[in-house]
Amino acid sequence: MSDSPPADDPLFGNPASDLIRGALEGSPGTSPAAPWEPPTPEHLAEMLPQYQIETLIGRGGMGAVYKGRQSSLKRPVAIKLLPAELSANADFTSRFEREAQTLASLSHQGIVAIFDFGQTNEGHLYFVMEFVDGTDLAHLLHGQRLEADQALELTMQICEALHYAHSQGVVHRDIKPANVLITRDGRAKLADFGLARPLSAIHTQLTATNAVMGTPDYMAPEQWQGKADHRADIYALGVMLYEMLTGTRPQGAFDLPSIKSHVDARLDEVVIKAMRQEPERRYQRVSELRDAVGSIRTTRPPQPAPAPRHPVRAPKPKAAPPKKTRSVFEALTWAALALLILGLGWGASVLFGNKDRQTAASPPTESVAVIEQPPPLPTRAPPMVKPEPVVPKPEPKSVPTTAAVTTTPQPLPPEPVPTPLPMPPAAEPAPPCIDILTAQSVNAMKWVLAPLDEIVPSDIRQNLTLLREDLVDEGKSKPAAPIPAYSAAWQLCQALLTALDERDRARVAAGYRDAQAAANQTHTNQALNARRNYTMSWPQYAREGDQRAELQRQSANRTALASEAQKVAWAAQSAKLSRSLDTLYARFREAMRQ
Amino acid sequence: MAAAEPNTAKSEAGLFPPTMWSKVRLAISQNEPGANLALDELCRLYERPIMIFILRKGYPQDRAEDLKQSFFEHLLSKNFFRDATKLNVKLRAFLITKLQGFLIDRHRHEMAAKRGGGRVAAMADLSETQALLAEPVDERTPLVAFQRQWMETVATNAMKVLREDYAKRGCETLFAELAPLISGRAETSLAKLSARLDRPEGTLKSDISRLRARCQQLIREQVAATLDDPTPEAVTAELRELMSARS
Repeated sequence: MSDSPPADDPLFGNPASDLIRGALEGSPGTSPAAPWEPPTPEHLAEMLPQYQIETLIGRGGMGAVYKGRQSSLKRPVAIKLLPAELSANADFTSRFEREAQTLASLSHQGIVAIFDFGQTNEGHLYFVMEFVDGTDLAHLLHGQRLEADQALELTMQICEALHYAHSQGVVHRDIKPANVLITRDGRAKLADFGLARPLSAIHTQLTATNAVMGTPDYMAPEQWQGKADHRADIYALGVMLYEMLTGTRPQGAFDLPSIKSHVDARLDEVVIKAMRQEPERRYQRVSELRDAVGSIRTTRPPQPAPAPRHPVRAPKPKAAPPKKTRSVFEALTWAALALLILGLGWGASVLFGNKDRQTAASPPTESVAVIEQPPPLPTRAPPMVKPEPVVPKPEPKSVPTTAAVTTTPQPLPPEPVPTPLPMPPAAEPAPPCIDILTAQSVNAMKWVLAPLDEIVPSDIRQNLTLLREDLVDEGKSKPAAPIPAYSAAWQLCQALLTALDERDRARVAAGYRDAQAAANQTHTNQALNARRNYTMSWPQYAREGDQRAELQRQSANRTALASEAQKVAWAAQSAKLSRSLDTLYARFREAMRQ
Repeated sequence: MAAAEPNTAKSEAGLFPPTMWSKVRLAISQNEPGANLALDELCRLYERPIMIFILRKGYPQDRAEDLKQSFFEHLLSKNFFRDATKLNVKLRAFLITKLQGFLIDRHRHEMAAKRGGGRVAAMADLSETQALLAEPVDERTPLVAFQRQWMETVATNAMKVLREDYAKRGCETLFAELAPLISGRAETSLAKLSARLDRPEGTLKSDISRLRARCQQLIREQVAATLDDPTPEAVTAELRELMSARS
């Protein structure tokens, strides 16, 4: 306003949308000082003699939750009580009953069970549900993020529960951390299912009954229009996943999770897709979201970032791999760092028939040749158990490749000597995993270099990951075996996996641009439509319409170009990658021969 | 702290300017004296959305300021409202339509002044920054920005009235303490607040609830003042529409 506002912030820190929403729904918040005063436990006990009411455990503006005990069955229960005024609305009462009945039919370990519902003699609607001993996700989060694997585990559990509910035709409509209860043994349980939610009958006073529910941040865009199906739950789940991963809610032009919290870059795609503005572009079923998350969990997360010289990738100090293998990963991480810098494209040579390069093993000119050896392989450990490194290297040690003649890497001056590895003769023929690696890497390489539009099949990554583990296991079982050979094989494996991760990131980035381009295309179409309608009414303004449309078109073109540029950049990147893999492969072959 | 509390149950006559769009329109159509001024007063409440729209159209700040002023002068000098009084349009739709027409007229006018230059697209004259401002990449097209700002302004105006409301009763301190709690986002311990204000918690709770109710009422009044037929349903519909423009 041009006249000075009454204070620095005329809204006193209240978001305008919250205030408007408050006016829309009757009560804007769930602060401890909400308008409705719930009855005391003693008072409620009088109204519901069949339960022993112990204490009031939570309250919002339009509802309160008590902890109690069902006297007959001697089981703990939670009782949710709604204000008596609500029952004055016959529509609301009947909908409440209908929904309670639907919910009672849901039986899933991830959903808080409903035992009973009804109305007190003073008119409060209430329902009695399973008491969950634990906390809720909102408490757990409280401005901080969860470990990535924890977040994924919870997301999987919530997906399971929602999948079941959706299959029963029940939509939650208010997925948010406060509605995800966490039991003491770490199981997520969805509460507040579809009850008393404004949906179809939204324009009546009915909305006033829902003030306690729904945090705007978790509501899908279409929910504001009063129409929402199960895909609104998927949207909310996306928001929640983002919040779990990063500790903040995605607002405005938010950072991708991998950028904000250095989590697995593949999660970016999941979050973006779940949170698409248009329901038809989201995951269409919770099971799809679950599968996407599941595949990220079961395949290896990306390795931490390569050396800082690497031009494309942002560092990822906390890649959050599954805990049991983390220490191995950390220990091996440094070995991976120098690989991409090193360079070679045996894959390219395979692809392009340039076989002679395999033996040439000429060091790439751009190589910085600070090759990190993988850490010494730990001594025998039970198979199938992820090895804990017995002698992990706490920090990278620079080992010139030429010096790797003994079974333990020596910390030597980091003088780059990029010559082929002189290896001691192999004590026995190459173990099968080495042969498999040779075959697998051809396949993997194809995918590293595939166009960004294509999705790398998850088994490629899985196979490589398994191979990498096998190499560690086999190396351990044969302490006398030529460590450098394993080391070279391991490096190759690792480089391929890193390259695939690298590709995923480029893919997400290009996808993001594509999405922007698509959005711009929509705007262009809108502008053209508007222009048509507009100039039909006011032909004299046709020119202005043309200008806007032209601007929109240019903007769309620019974004489309950005997407192209991203892909071109990747192509350049992958050529480099190919060279570096080439070198690695040559080293590997060399090591095997000796 | 004075214990006197504004009575939130009924609207305070005089606190809120009774410049209802519907009444203003009627007054103008009947050529009542002062009707134009009442309209000006009403429209100026929404200066900010107008400004945002002009800026989003790609005009630089100082030029936008001029345009806004001329627009308001234009509103008063022309008998702009004849058609508005015939049609059933709400203030928001009316203003934005008039504003768009005004800007285009201006643009044509300027083009005519530069006759001979043969320039077609003013867009080409925009600097890179302005072009970016005008870009709809973040979906903030001028119209959406206008609508969002309108929402913001409704809330601001309501809070302003609310504040004056409390100030008149000498409850300014109470208001300043409680206002951040309206949306329920701020985390303030009621106990601490109670100690600081020397006011029992129970009283504070009802204070807040009254403040909230009054705020909601004022927002609805603000919105009602812009509608041609301000029934509760129409107000709700308009509020919903405003919400739909949020990010």
